[in-house]
Amino acid sequence: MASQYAEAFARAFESRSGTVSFAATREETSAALRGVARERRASLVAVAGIPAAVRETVIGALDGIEVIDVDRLGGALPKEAIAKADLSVTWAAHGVAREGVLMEATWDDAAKLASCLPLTNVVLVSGERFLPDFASAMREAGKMVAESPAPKPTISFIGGSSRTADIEGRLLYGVHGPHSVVALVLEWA
Amino acid sequence: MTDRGKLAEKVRRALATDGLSDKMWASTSRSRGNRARAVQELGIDVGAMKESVRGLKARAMSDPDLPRKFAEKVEGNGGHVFFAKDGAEAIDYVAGLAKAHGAEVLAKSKSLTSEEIDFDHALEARGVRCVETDLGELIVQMAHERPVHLVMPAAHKSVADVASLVSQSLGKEVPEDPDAILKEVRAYLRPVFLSAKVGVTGANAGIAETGTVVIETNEGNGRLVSAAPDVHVVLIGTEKIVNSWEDAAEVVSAAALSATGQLTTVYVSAFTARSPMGGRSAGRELHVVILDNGRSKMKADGRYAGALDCIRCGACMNVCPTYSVVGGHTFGHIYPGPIGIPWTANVHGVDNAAFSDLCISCGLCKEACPADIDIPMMIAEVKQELVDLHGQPRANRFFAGSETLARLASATAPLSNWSLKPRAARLAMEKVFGVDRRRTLPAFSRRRLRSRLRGVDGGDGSSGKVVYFPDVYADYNDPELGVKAVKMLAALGYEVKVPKLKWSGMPYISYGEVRKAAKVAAYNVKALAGYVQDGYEVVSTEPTAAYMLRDAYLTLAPGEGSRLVAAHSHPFFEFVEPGLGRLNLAPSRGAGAELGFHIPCHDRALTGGGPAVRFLTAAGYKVDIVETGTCCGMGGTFGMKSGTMGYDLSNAVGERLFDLFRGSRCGLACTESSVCAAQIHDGTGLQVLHPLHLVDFSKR
Ligand code: SF4
Ligand code: SF4
Repeated sequence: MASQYAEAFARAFESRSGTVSFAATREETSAALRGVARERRASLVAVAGIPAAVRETVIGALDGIEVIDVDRLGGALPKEAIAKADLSVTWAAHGVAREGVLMEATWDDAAKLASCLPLTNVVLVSGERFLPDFASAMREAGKMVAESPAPKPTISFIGGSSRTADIEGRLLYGVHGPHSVVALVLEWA
Repeated sequence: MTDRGKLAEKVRRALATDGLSDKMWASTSRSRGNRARAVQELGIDVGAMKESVRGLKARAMSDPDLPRKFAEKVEGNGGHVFFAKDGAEAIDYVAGLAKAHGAEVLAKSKSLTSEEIDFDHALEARGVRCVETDLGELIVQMAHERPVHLVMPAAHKSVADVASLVSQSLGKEVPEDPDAILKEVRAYLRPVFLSAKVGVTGANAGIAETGTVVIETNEGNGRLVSAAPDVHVVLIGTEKIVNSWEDAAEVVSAAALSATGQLTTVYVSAFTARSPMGGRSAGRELHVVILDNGRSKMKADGRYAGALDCIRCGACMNVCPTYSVVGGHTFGHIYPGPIGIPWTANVHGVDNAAFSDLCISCGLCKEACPADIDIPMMIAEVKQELVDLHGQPRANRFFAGSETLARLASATAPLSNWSLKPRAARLAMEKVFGVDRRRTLPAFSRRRLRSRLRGVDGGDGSSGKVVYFPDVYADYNDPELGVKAVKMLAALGYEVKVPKLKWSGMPYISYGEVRKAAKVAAYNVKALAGYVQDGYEVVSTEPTAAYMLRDAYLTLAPGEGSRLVAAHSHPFFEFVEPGLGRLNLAPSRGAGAELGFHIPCHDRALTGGGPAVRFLTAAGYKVDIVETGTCCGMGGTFGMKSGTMGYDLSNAVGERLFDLFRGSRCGLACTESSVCAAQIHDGTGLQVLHPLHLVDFSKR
């Protein structure tokens, strides 16, 4: 059962051109991820920042598709590798109800690039991690940064796909970053 | 050619450039509309937002140590900080970094602070190429131009222009299709992001409590520029540093809402230290360049310190009538638009701020500004500096003294009125005083208001006591309007006094005679404060006068007196509205007649036109608010001046409103402002009347 905040988030995120799905179980999560990968004809998927309790489900869902495990790329050339991916699966620390944004916290810029570079970004967020508004999310982010030992996390709020209105005011998507962003709310995690 | 002559020539060229005004107007209208829609749909309390932004800025500005505190935190997190006293120092520092890292190309995301110091050209002169990655910035870089707007740098370019620029720059044919252009740009920039050794961003805020830098983008280029290269350089002005994450949240929300009507931009990034890349920390560096470049001087100058509160949302540009038809290459030096005037005067020198002549003192920028910056008053100060340096042009002198002129013309009426008509006389007036011969000028009344009021019932005072402030128009030109106002106030039970006062003095502000405006304000405040202390309220039928009393006098004559006067001053219809139930109202032009109603700029901040519209509706009119969202273009007496820097520019703005009037079914127009009435009449041929001239009333 989605919380009031999660539902408000979904409405706001979709009004910003994002897509939202809810998954009540691990199975639904796998199915949703497989569905996006199939629909986007993904052949290379970058996975970054997924907590251990969810990771297995994600990797399992992508069985048969080549996966770049960004967190374990090590000293190779991670940005070039990530840039080749056509889909990414990343994690948000929180969803923000009123503004319809996801709050991502990363400790390595390779993980940040995973939500920046591929054309489609699926962001997983726990159904229990919703905050009412941007002001409270910034407070939370400030606390996280202040209390975190070095290296401090980088916080990114993501409100849908990369866009511009720089050509005659026409709204165009995917200028640099993802053309589409899917928020997958995990009601079980 | 004088600087003023050059400005007029630039305006002439801008107005003659095919499609420029239309593109600028379309862009600013869209932004105005998006913001207005968001405010309404989301129920945003704009007043509370302004107060909050002002408060956080005041807290930040009151702590001279804040930049140092911020710097210490950045360094504590492993970052490097460089305090640059000016652009040259900042550029030297970044050029040194580029050299040390062997960077021949810098990936840049939008930074107005870098524009301020001409960063790209300076770096290029040292053999380092800067690639702008924000699409709008990239377009103007390809065109070798400057941004035309703070938020929409390429608002003056059409799809065809952009396709042609991208084709030329990339050496391949790109079709005139926005999606195709975007695909090419994405493909062009991707290797830049991935291969640049150094990335440069600006900052929307620096958070002192944790040493965090916040940047907002919609395109996501800021995230890429700050993450992909090993070295990230942040160029931040001292004024962007705030105390806390809460304060930064306010800045982000207010900027996004005011710029584009969004609750936040698509991406808001906050980085506190350099993150490793794939586990590698070696070579990953964060450098924060904190730029002063005149900001300390600005902070110490009471006239301009408020400009440092700017959060660069561009809303002042979107509402500015003249900016909206000439664009930021004419209405701007490096910083464009209204706020560009005080910023230019302070960081690039007052002579570069001569485009302040394009401000027609409508006051809309102040109303739109989320930081509530008194931009019009700062512009008046810049104009005063220019007048002190270079003198006052003849036409400005003539109009700045319009009260004296009105007194003279009234005393010599009807002769003076006759001289307003013949072609030869108008030609002579144009030549000698710079009054455009095409402009219909209001006739003068031989008998002024106070003389007309002899024998008129001054009210029994059962509802209270009122000072009626007629200003120039209801005193010298249309005293009948003043008589009606006094009669209505008396009918509502007020005891009405019309004491001898000076005019409101607005033209002094418009023409950069701030010291004279301050004298007028001091005189009127002294006189009116006495009445207020005796229990009088102050009421005016002229929106500009009400605006001066309520707002501008607070700055011109600071102190308890002006605060008292402001608190007890009212636009006419706002004041009478609660008592209208005691009057019989009837339309003097026939029941059900359709009126096209124009809201004067100075009334937008006060009542938004609502009380006058309700008054007309209650009298039986069908009222259609005819609205572009900005000024009619008259700008007080600006549109009476001859030539480009007067009538022509005024009409270029007005044309949009005239079209709406022509497209409406209204056979009659109505506005509370005497000068808006002249503009709409001249532009449409419609008869334009004050609401009081359209309604008959009697006591119930
Ligand atoms: S007062 Fe009006 S004309 Fe002047 S800069 Fe502000 S918006 Fe533009
Ligand atoms: S002056 Fe005000 S409205 Fe203009 S850009 Fe700055 S914050 Fe925005």
